[in-house]
Amino acid sequence: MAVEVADPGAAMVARIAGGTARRRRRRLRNWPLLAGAILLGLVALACLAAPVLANHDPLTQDLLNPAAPPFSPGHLLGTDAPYGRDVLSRLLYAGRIDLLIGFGGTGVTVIVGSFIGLLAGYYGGRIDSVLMRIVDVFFAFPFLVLVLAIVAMLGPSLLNIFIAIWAVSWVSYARIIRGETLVAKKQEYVLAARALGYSDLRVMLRHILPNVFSAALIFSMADAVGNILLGSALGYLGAGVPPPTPEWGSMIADGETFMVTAWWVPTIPGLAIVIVGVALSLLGDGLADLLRPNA
Amino acid sequence: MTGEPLLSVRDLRTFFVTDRGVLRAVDGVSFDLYAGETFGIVGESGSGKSVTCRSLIGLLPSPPAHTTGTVRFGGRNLVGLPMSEMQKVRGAQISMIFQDPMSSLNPVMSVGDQIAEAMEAHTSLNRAERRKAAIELMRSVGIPLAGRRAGAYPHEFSGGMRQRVLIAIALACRPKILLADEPTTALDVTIQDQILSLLLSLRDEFGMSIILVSHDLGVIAETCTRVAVMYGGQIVEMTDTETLLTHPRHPYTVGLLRSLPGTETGSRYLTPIPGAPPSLIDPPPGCRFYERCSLRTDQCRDWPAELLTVGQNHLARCLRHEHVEEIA
Repeated sequence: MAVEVADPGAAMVARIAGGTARRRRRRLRNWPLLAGAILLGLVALACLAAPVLANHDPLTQDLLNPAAPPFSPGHLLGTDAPYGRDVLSRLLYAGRIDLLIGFGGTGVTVIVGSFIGLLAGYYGGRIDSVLMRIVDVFFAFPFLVLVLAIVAMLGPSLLNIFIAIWAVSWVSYARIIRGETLVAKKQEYVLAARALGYSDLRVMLRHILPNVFSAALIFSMADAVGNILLGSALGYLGAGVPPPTPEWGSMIADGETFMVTAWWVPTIPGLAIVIVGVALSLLGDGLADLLRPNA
Repeated sequence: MTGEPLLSVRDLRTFFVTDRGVLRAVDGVSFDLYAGETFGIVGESGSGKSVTCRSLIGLLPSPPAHTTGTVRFGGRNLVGLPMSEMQKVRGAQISMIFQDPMSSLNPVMSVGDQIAEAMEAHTSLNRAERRKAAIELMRSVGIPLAGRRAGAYPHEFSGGMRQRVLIAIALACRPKILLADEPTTALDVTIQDQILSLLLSLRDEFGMSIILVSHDLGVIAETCTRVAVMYGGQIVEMTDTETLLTHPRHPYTVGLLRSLPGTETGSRYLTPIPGAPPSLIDPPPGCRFYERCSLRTDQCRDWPAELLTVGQNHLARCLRHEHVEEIA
C-alpha cells in the first residue's frame, strides 16, 4: 500500500512559483522605459513620415487665411500668423530638425567624450592631467554662452549648430567615463585581462567600457533633451537654423507676438518640446533601472 | 633537478616609490623553474611573494614600481621588455591566475566569450574554432554541461566554478608557465582540494610548469616539488619540499611549520611567531628576521645576510643554521 507522504513544502512551492511569475511580469513592466520608448518612437515616426502626414508644404504661405484656429477645414492645428502656413506641417518638419540636433549632437559627443574619458582614466598621469584641464576650461564657460559664441562666429546653420554642440558637450561624458574608469581599472578582471597579454585598446574597449558605459548612456538621455532645447533656444534667439526652415524654437519665437490672437502658434511647438523632453527623461529613468538595478 | 631551466630569475628587485621612502618589496630574488615542475613560493602577507610573481611578467604599474634584475625565458630577459613584446608573452607563454575568482572575470561577458577572447588575442583561430576550443577547455577543467554553460555569465557560477573558468582562460593558449597567485585562498577547503588536484593534472596534461604562490604551507606541501620561503622581500630558504618540511634550516621556516595545525606535533596549541615583519623602507642591515628570532646573536646584524648552501640543493639565509634544531 502506498504511503501518502505529506509534503509541507508543497504549498510553499506553489505559492513562490506563482510569486516569481508575478514578479517577472512586474519586472517586464519597467513602465518609464516602455512609456518613454513608445512616446519617443511615436514622435520620431511622425516626424520621419512628415512628407506623408503633412498635407501642406511647410513653407507655402496662404496670406488670405492667417491665424486659422485648430480644427479648421484642411488645417488640423490651424495656420500661423501672419503668413497662414499650416502649423501641423511645420511642426512635423521642424521635429525632424530638432530630433536631428538632439540625436546627432548627442550621438557624436557620447562616443568622442567616452573615449577621451576612457583614455584619461585608464592611463592617468600626464595624459589625464592634460585632458582634464581641457575639460575644466570648457566647464568654466557657461554652456549656452559658449555655444552662442561659436554659432555667432561661424554663422547660423545646421552644421554650425552641430559643430558648436560637438565642441562643447563631450566634456560631460569625458568626466563621467573617466570617473567610472578610475574605479573599474582597479578591478581584478582588468588586471586579469592585462595578465593575459591583451593590448591597452582591447582592455579599454572590451573590458572597461562595457562595464562603465551605462552611466554615459543614462546621462545621454538628459543630454539629448538639453541639446533639443539648445537647438530651440538658438532658434528662438535667431541664431539657429535660418528661416524659413521650420524649427520648434523659431516657431515659438515667431508666434510669440501673436500669443493673444493666435495662442496655438507658439503653444503647439512648445508642447512638442515638452513631450520629447518627457519621453527622453522617462527613457533615461527606465534605462537607469534596467542597466544598474542596484544603483 | 637537472638540465636547462625553463625560467631563470636572478637578482630580481622590485622597489616602490612611496611618500615615506623607497619600499624594497622584492630585494634580490633568484630561483630557477624547470620544465614540468611545480615551484612553491610561501610567506606571510607582505613578504613579497605576489610582487615577485607580478614582476616576472611586468604587471606592476611603473611608476611607482621599478624592477631590475633578469628573468630569463626563451633566450630573452623579460625585465625591461617593450610592452608590445611583453603582451605577446603574457597569456600566450606565461599565464596567470589570481586569488579572487569572484572579481577576476568580466561581469558583462559570457564565460565562453572570455575563454575564446584569449585565443582571439594570441592565435589565428577563427570564431567557430575558438568557440569549439573554449567548450573543449571548459570540459577539461571539469565544468559540467560545458556546451550549455559557455553562454552563461560569471554571476551564474559558484566560486569554485569561476576559478575553473579562470584556469581555462589562462590555459587557452597552452602556456609553458602558469603563475598561480593564491589560487585557492578565496575558496573553501573541499573546493580548494579539487582545484589543486585539477591544476596538477592539467600541468601533466598540458606539459607546463607552475609557480604556486601561497601563504599556506599546507597547500604548498601538497602540490610543490620545490619551495622557496620568502620573508621581508627575500628568499630565506629554498629546497625541495620534503627537506623543507623535515629539516628546515631557517628559524622562520621553523616558525611557519610550528604555526601549522597538525596531528604529529602533539602540541595542543599553535605556536605563533612573536613580533611583526620589519618595515621594508630602509630595512636594517644584516638579517631581516633578527628582531623575531630566538637564535639571534650580535653577529646576525653585521653579516651581509647571504643565502648559504646548507645541504645538497638547500639554501638558507641564516648564520646560525646549524643551531636551528635547538629551537625550543
